[in-house]
Amino acid sequence: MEPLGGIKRSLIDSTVLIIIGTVLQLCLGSFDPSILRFPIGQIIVVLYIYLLICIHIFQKRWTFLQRLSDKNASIVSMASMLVILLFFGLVRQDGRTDGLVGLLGFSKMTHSWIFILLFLNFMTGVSLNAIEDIHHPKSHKLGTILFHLALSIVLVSSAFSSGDMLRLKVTLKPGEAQSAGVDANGIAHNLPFELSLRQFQMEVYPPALRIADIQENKYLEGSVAADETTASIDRWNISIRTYLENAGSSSGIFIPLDHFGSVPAVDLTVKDMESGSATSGWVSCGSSVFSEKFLQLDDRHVLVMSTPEPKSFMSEVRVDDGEGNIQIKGIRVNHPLKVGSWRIYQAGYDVKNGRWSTYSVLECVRDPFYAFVRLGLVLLLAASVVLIALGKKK
Amino acid sequence: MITWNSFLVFAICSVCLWLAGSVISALKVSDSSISTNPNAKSIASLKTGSKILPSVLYSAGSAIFLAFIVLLWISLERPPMRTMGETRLWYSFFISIIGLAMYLRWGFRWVMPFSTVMAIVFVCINLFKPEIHSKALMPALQSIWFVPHVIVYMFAYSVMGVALLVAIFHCYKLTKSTPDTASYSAPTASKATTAPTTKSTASQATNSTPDTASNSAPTTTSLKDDKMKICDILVRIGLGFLTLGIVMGALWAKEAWGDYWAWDPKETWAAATWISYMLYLHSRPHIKDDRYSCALLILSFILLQMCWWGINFLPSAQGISVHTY
Repeated sequence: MEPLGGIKRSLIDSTVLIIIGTVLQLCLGSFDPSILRFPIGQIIVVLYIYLLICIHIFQKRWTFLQRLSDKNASIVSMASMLVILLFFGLVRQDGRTDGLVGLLGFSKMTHSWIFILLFLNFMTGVSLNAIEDIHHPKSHKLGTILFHLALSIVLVSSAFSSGDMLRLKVTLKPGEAQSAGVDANGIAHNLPFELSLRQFQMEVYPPALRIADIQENKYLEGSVAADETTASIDRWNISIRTYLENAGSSSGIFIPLDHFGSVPAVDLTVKDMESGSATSGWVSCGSSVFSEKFLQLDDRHVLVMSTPEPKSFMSEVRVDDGEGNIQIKGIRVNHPLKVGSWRIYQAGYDVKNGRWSTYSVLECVRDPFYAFVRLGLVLLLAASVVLIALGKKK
Repeated sequence: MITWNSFLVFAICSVCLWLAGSVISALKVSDSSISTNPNAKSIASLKTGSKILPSVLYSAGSAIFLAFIVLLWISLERPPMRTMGETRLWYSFFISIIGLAMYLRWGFRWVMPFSTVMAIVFVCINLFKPEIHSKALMPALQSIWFVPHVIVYMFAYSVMGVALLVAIFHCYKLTKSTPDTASYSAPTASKATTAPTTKSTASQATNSTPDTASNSAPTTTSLKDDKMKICDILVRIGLGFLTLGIVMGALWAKEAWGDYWAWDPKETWAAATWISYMLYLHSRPHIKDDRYSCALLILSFILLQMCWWGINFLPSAQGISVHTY
């Protein structure tokens, strides 16, 4: 077992960091990552890496520098991160500033000085170990070398990219062009290209039919898809005669209608298997144009249709960079469009109108450290595979 | 067309086969007789043969369970990985596979009964509280990362579950043993001090049950007798899969939302779980008393549960997590 003094010393180091973090938090308030914007962020990251190399070189001469990355420091820095992550997980991240939690910045943990210093300590330990591994590589430690290196790249590049990351929401209506977006604080920023929405398309799943207990104010277990023919929920047997994907109602009767605000509707019979009684009628979830229609089964149970869930949605956009490069592409969830250093994501639509949404919300993201983080993550994938393959070895 | 209504039949068949395999494996030739008998070689070959019946029965149970998953996949026209009930299916399946693999690799008589109990618990939860009604697959989940991300995570969870079982079993044995032999197996430093000679400890092992023998004879114990080493291997493998899951999730999140990591409650608890297991691996050579390591494994597994389903009930995560299902 290592001398207890080593662990004690590392614990004291971490406690000092927490005290410094608390003092900074109380004196300066939460950390503002925007100070890491170009060129400050880039200068700091270069200096940080230079400092890491210097520490590595002088660690043998000035042994106190080993306190940043020796075994005890590694264990304590991980334990400290674990504790702060527990606070992170348990405290609601709503940015409130009142109370002890708010005062320490725990309600916006990523901006709290305590979290930042502990993270910095952890990142420095990992990075110094990575440098040591590279400087003195051992073939049987391939997994560890890769792991430290990959983790270090991911942590350093993501930590210092936070200032330059820009996320802008752009709300587009068909035919309307936009060349600016709004960030999370509501501040408008210009985009290096112009976006216009050609069309917004959405596919939906057949809506689910469910039975609600209005006395208990809850749904019974189970549901039936509107495109099924027969099914059971609890003691009721449901037979669907007609399912209309797009319908409009007239005097309680639904007819096919493909128009803004049209709704799915089913004509069905519900039989109570205990009493033998049967109820028939139309059921629909309703929209901004047509009202909802449900079926009363008895004095406490009602058959209702839930709003259809989206299967896929896509915005067909025209992107003009002003230099003669025009592209017309479809943007879907999980399929962003890359334009220079920007990526454009499908972020939302008018949920109230669903597939009849009159606008689409896109999110334009600029992430200058994209490639570095990706490189680190790919290396981490490789390191994990090595760790699994060499699982039996140390 | 297979639906959840058929699950009961498949579950009963699988559970019966798992139980049969487990019971037979538990009743077969004890491990200790191999190391102490002069005709060890012939008994070892006998033992290898004796593994066949329980393994076949057990793997048949897992095969039937997998058949249900595959048929449900075809029936739903999407991977059955979206709802809590669906992820529990994978958990039961993987934990049975890992139990079988450990039995085949190290011959533990207790591992298949343990993993069977764990698999049955999750089967029962699915039977009594299904949480399986949604058939839809939301657009964010329609990604090439969805299947590998979930499978890798479920496999990691299962490996960590088995590691926890091994640790608890080991702790129980340690607690039952005398205080001076209760701790022994720090992989590096403690060995030299607790095991003076190979010969003497080997003779002690002769008169002991396999587990108490391993407690008193660290240097001569094989890997299968040193439960904490098994835990280390399992955690190392589990951590590898956990890391794969996190990285795949990060790459997927970048494609879906533009951020590798957004500190969503699920991500925060995933990070806590990951660092907790990492702490276990880094602290193992320095902790002499295995019970502390076991305690850390238990804490890590609690965090893992919090990450898996606990956040659905956590007030701080309500309404702000995109990982709700």
